[in-house]
Amino acid sequence: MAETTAIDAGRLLKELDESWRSIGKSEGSGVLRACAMTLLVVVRSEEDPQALGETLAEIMHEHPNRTIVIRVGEGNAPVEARTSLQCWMPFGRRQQICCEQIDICATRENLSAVPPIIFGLMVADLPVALWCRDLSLASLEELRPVLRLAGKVMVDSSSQRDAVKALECLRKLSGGTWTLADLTWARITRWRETIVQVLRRGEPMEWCEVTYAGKGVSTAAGYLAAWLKRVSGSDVPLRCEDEESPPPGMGRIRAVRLQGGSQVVSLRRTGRTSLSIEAGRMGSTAVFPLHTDSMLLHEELNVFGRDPLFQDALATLPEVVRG
Amino acid sequence: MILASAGAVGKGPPGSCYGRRMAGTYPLEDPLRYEKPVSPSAIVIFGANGDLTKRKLLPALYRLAYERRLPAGFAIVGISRTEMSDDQFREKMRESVEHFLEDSPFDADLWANFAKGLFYVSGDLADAAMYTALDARLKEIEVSRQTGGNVLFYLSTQPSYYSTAAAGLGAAGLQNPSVPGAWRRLIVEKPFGHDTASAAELNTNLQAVFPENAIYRIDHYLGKETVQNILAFRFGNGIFEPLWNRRYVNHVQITAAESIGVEGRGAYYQEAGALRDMIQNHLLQVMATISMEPPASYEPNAVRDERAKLLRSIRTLKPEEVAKNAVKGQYGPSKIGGADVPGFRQEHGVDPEAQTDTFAAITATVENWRWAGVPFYIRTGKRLPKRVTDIAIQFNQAPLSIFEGETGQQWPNLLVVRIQPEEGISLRFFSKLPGAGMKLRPVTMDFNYGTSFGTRTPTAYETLLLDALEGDATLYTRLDMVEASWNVVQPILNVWNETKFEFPNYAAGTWGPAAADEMLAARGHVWRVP
Repeated sequence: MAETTAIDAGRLLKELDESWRSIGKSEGSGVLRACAMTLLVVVRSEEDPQALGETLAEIMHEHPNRTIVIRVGEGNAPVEARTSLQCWMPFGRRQQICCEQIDICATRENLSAVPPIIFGLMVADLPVALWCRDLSLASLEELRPVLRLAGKVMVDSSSQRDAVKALECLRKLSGGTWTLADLTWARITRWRETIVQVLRRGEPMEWCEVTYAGKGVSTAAGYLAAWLKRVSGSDVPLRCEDEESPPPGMGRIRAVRLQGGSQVVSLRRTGRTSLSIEAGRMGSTAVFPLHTDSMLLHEELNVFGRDPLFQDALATLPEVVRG
Repeated sequence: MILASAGAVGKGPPGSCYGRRMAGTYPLEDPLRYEKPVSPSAIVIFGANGDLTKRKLLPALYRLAYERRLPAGFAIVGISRTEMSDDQFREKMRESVEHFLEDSPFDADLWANFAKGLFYVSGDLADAAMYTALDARLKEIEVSRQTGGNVLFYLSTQPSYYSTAAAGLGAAGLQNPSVPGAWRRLIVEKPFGHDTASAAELNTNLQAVFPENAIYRIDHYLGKETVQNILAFRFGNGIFEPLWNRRYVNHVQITAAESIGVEGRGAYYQEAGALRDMIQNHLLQVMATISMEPPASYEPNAVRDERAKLLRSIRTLKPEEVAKNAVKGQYGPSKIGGADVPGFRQEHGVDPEAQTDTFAAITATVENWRWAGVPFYIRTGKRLPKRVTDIAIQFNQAPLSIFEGETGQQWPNLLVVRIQPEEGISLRFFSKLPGAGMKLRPVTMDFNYGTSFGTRTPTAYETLLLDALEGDATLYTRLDMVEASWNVVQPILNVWNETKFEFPNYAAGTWGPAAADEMLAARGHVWRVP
């Protein structure tokens, strides 16, 4: 590990190489070096390092990668970088698996110095994905060259309380060379899947309604309504049911009601991990997982390439949100 | 070094591990993120009080419910001789699921909902009244659970009852859907007969009631993720298939070893033996998967056609060839890790003079242009040194040694597909030793399934049950495949049945009888130590 003011990609890679040699000597049975992609992560400097570290560790287990974390702060401190190896011992194995991580700290002032460093740090011949939870941060002009390196750019519009504001940022990020993904779209996958399971195949959807909790129009609810509108061909009203914000991880969508053929279907979030389903005379319960960043990223990282349904929903979102 | 894949070949959508099918035309579907829904249905399990139901089937169905893969209109009807109420059956199944659920939490709320769809009918499989009662129960459930009249019958009984159960269903008309457009299917567990004649008789009896396309013969090996991954590895990549033939492959070894003995199943195993229990079904299917021609598409019959074609291409041994190409073994007592281990004949319920094969090894050759002259060595056994199932493809050595001290003769390139445990693929090749000169050393590149994909992989029964509910028979064996497998095995059984063997011929905890080594040595090969 080292800190430096004159950042050079070659030096960082050399440091990583030395770390591999060192860990190889200290571990009797050696280590497995795992890498299937480069993951660029852009966060604000005040982001909780422990929570971020846990998320990245979980992602590494499922998508081994070289992670490059870019922390963006204020002030005029010089660009700094350090390298590390993230290792874990899978259950029942005697050999550790390790992935590389590079942390770069920069400020808005010197952010333009970062892309040249990153160009030299990409893993050759493997996909590149970028995750930036913060929509306004992702929209910074200084980060454009970094975004252009990525095949996929993953943002999270739920970082904006209101869908109208989120839409402005999403529009700025659309149309690049990358494929844009929104983790909020991944948040509604379980809702969409449940609707598909409950509706009888082939029956037309006659009307639907989506309700949500919390102040400001929920982007998740907006996406769900947009998807339902594309499928049904009719307007889907969005309604705020409760201005109080739901607990973290639960999502803001409260309920979906729709008429599919002869049956009225009602899906309602009843707890942190449960959903009650009423379809005609049948009632049942489904388990909804609490959404974590790593779970959502895992879903998005499994969708390499264009996601036409998301693109459609994104295109329809303005109509739904603005009524 | 680990070679992790960049994409998601052969892998399902996120949050679920069941992603093999392609997009349909239903506008609500999103094949990138979730699977299309299973139609409302009921599963009727014959032998609901048995071990398979408790250990595998109910935990698999519960897990599918946990993964939200089962439809809202779903029910399970258990059938066995024991008198039980629905509630008693539910309680019994709850205990089983809690006990045998692997890699998953037990969710009491989900169970409460799942259990509402559990029902029980007691009765004798030979009694027509039981089928009348089942019919009535299914009609009730069709209304109360909205199952749409679709029923999957699962024969999890002793094999001797398969024909009886099928005939009973036929006599009651239960093979015919009660609702237009609905389906009725039948799953049969192995063994599919105990020889060619009995397999043919069983097939005749089943087909007298259900059409062939409604009969799903389950071979859980084909449901294993790693066996499915063989297809992804072979046909999803461009670089291996050109090497996959007699020009480059020297021979193939398929090993399925168990370290345990018969574990209380002595009476059953005594009648079956390793050749019937493992090679006739699981291992010949694995061999077919590793050596079949590329199917034109990933459609059930396209894949099964190729598997069947390969099985039909395996050369049938003449009686006088059996001794040189098949080895029968039985373990004797031994001491393993300081503990006394009984021989097979000392196991509970086993005849002290039993001629049962607890070890079997065969040399199979495939008579087609791709594989002519390439031996496929298959071995399986109990009380071997470790539990391992793998396939090793040994390539021809480099045609010329140009480096000093090169030992290519002993270390040819080897591609190992590990099915269990630690599923993965490794490739052995030569690398230069650091330092002066050109000294070579064999090294391996390893791909480990578990470490490259951190998500839980579904059990074979989850995959196969879901497939049957969706009407996807890709991973099920077809009548012609069963017949072709028996054609390979039957000549060996015929000779073995007429021969008295000097058993035991290997000690528990070793890699089988010396004759197995000699079988390979005759062709200049040796068994790997997996």
